[in-house]
Amino acid sequence: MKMKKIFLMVLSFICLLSANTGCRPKKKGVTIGISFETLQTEYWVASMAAIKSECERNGINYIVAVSNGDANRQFEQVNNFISQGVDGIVITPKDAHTIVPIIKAANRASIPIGIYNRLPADHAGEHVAVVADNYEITKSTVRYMGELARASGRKHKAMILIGDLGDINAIYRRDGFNDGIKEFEDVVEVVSRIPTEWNQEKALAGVTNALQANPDISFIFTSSDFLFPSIISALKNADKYHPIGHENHVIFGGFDGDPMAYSLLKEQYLDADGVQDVFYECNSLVQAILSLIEGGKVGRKIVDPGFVIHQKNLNEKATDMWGANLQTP
Amino acid sequence: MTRFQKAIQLLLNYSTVVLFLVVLVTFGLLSPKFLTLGNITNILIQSSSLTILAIGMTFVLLTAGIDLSVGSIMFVVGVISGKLVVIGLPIWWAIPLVLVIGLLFGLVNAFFIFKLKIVPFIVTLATFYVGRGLGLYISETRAINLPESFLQIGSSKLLGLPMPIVILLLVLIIGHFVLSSTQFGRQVYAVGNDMAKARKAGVPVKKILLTVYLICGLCAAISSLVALAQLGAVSPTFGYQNEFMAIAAAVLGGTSLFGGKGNILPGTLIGALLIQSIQNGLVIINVNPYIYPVITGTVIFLIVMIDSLRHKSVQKALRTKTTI
Amino acid sequence: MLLQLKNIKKSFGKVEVLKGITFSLDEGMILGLIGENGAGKSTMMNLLGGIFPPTAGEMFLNGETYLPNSPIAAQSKGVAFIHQELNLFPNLSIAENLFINQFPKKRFFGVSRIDKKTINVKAKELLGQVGLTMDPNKKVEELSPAPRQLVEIAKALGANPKIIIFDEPTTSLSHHEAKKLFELIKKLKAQGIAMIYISHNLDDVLKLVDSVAILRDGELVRMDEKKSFDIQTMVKEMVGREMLEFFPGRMKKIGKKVLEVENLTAKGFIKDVTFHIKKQEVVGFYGLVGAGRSEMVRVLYGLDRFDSGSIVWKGELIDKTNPVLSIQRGIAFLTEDRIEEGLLTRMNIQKNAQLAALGHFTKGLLHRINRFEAKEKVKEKVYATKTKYENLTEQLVSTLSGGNQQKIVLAKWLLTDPELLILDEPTKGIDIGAKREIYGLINNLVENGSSVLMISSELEELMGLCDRIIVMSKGKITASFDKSQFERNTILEVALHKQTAIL
Repeated sequence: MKMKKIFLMVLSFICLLSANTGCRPKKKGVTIGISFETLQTEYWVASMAAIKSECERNGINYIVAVSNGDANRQFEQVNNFISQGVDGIVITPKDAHTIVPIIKAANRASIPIGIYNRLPADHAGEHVAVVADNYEITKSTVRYMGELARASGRKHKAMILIGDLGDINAIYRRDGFNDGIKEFEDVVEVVSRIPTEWNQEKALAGVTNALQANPDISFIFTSSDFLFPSIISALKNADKYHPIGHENHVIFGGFDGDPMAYSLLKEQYLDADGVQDVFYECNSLVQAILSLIEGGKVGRKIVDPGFVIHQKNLNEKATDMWGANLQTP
Repeated sequence: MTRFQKAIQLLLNYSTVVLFLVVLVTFGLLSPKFLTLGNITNILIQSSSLTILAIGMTFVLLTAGIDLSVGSIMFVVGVISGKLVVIGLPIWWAIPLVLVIGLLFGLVNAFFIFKLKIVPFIVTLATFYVGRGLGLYISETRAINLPESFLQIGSSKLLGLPMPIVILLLVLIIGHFVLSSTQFGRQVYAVGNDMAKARKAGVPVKKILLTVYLICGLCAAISSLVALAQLGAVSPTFGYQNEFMAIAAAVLGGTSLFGGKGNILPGTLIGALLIQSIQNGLVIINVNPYIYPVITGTVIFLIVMIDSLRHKSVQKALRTKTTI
Repeated sequence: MLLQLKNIKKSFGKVEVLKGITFSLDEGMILGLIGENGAGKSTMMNLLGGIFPPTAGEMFLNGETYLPNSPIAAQSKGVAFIHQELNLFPNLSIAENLFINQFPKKRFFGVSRIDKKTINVKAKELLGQVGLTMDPNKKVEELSPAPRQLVEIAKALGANPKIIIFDEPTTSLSHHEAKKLFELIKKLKAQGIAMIYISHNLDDVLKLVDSVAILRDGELVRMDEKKSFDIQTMVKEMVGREMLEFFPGRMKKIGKKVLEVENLTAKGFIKDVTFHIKKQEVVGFYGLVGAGRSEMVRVLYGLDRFDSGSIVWKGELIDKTNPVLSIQRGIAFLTEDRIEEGLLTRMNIQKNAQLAALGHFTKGLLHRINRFEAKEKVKEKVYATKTKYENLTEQLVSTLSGGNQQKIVLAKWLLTDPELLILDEPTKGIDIGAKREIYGLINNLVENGSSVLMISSELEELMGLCDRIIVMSKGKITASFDKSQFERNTILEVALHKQTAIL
């Protein structure tokens, strides 16, 4: 019996830790539920903060839940929101398909639901989704890098770090890269495509191995900024990490616009970064939900065109870059 | 047994080694860059963290246990050492401190397993979540970028050998020695074969269990530091799913999940090197990224199949033996 | 006086298993301990071996109080226990098994490591004492049962024992091997080691021991020198009554052939096996361990494949055998290893007993199990087997004694109403009372129309029960005897000597 008790205690402790559910009731008025699939990168942390602050600005109460990668648990969390009587839901789903039953549950309860950052499958019910144009932002970033390559007057060998092949955003970014780089076939040859599964250790091993096979790689694009440390570590080991202007500088670009990207840009190691406009996305999503709650109508999809930040527009664009406005830990 | 049967038996017994050689030769033929000294050093460096983790795991698996928490231990150790160094503690202070954290996790695992008699799978699944949650809490789910000094350790050399390889060799030699040449090591095998029998034979079963989980926790901490010194950063996914890689490496190396069978040298080492060589080779020959999981899965399937064949043929050989 | 027990009692909960045992043992003396299963033999030995303490009473070893709290404590006091289930680790080498808890060590740069040289020398010495000449680095899993037994004895000798307890040491040994074991036991006796020998094989007991102690229902009913006993008196004391007609007779009306086997060959195991079994006939298979008898019935039942030959079942040629088909045809198979192959020891009696006949209890489209019917039928059969149990649906099979477990296995197969029952060593390790009950069950079954194929290493049992005995040697049939030709020495001789060329 005693053993069982302790076991149950441990279990409930784990549940507490992993569910991370905190209630924060505020003054009376509109309440929305915010459910994130993960908080495992800076990007998600910043997004959560932006959504919360936009809510606060509009006097909206919110309840937060994080499902740590478990789609099933996320479904339960949303059901809890519904039974608690929230007025609206903002959610980052795990993928395009597990969100479908969640949307349907919200529809049945007639609660407006807003999807953040990952587009649901076509047959999903009524919802509003905000997504960055991963394809276009990546393509523009790669184009900028391609111009640099052409301007250097010599040929380059390129490497791309691909994200989790099950993540639709990773696929769009890869396609954006492929189509962007095509225009520069004359100066850039892609010699290495590394699947990282969004994992820093795999990325480090992959980049190191690729540099081993092709020591003359001089053009690197990563599908997410959070892989920067791995790339830098591998470049340092191969003695290839040099600032812009150095003769052995590697043309270097990323995607996200996180704080590390900002500091690398400032220190002149990074050439360009595709930025998802977190502020724009979060604000417009909260606004859309708000107007739905009030009985208004909004489109099904809000596209964040994003932008490319690079050495030449760094100062003027930095205010819009979420990574530049966070305190670097 | 006929000579043919004997040859098959021999081949099955060394299947992982054979497969490893096949992989080396295949990639060697596909790319001239694969079997260069530089790349082999690379493979060794890259597999050092995994191998160390798998060595600890081997001890636990040999007692018919399992430790799912090692990836989380790596994460906690990474986050805490990162935080400590960032706030200005010298690295040489931080290292022993976080090694103790690894030991603590091992202690907690062992306590629940043999004091409260909860099966290892459940206990370490719990510490797996606790560790991950703790790490996320401490790091506030943010990546921690480590100071230069960490990377310098990773790229420093001792007697001409890169530091990760030196540490790997040390852990490997000590682990192999403990397992094969000490009373404790041989008793680990006895416990893994049959815990009740071991108790009857006077083997201090509790002490053995405690020690293997401590060893596993310590190895996870060392493995974490070795990985950090190469990465230079701790992301919230650091160490994630490494427990499965470690178990895979040990099992590929011939360690039985049912306990009592397996070894570190050559077993676990070859298992880990095999996994890493395949990853490395695929990048070197620039394969379509979609192919990666297919190939990795195929190799694991092959090994499991060979393992089951090996088991069957041993059974058959035993049955054939007459006792007249 | 080496060992002395005074009024030893042991209870488990409310059940008193030992009700005040008093006896003593002298140096160099071999005491045979016999009794039915559940008489308290194992309990008594576990007390001596330090597995658990007595509830009341005193034990003295060499005049000093003896109260071991663990097997190791018992061992260090000089009491070694050779269990029926050997306590060896097959994944370790012989030498490692011998020294598992006290490896000779040497210092190596301040680190204590196993001294492999010394171990080898010492291990060879110990193995020499039991007459084994193997390489001590050989893994135990590569050994057959007989040398394993010897390794276990060598291990016990390593601790310089004054007393060695043997619990059914010959169950997995052939005649020849058992004989060698007895020689070893006599040698140890000459060295002054006292021994307690527990066995159901009363012949062996009479051959080997100096005195016999008989336990019945937790009491020592008689202890005396060997010469005052013969098998009849021993059996009588054990079961508490005369046992007339040990092999009960049965009505004979043997019918036509049900099974015809011709030139059955499974490479490496059996070759050109030809025989038949008639309706209501009991055919016994005799031979040495490894003669291919078990392998042959495994093939018949469909657990292993055969390479050539033919099997005809009730006039129909069978080209495929597997357990499911066999059960459908009405062939049941009681394996030699009831624990590993015959029973799910962690399930209750009901579930075990109904397992093979589950199809008989289902009804409707969905084959739903009629639990009530299943329970009634199981109860009936288990009752018929005279199994001692407390609760059908709650008691785990693992809590039953060996004889009762075997009866459950038998009940399981009887529930399927088999036309042919194959029994592989059905009475191995079972006490006399249970044996007789099993013989009765077999007779009942045959009288009701079934046929039986029975493998046994006890020739008396086959001679008492069978209509025909077939002898196998090295995978071949070497002789066949009708009931009128049964003659102990002739059959033994054929089994031992007439070994035709190997496969």
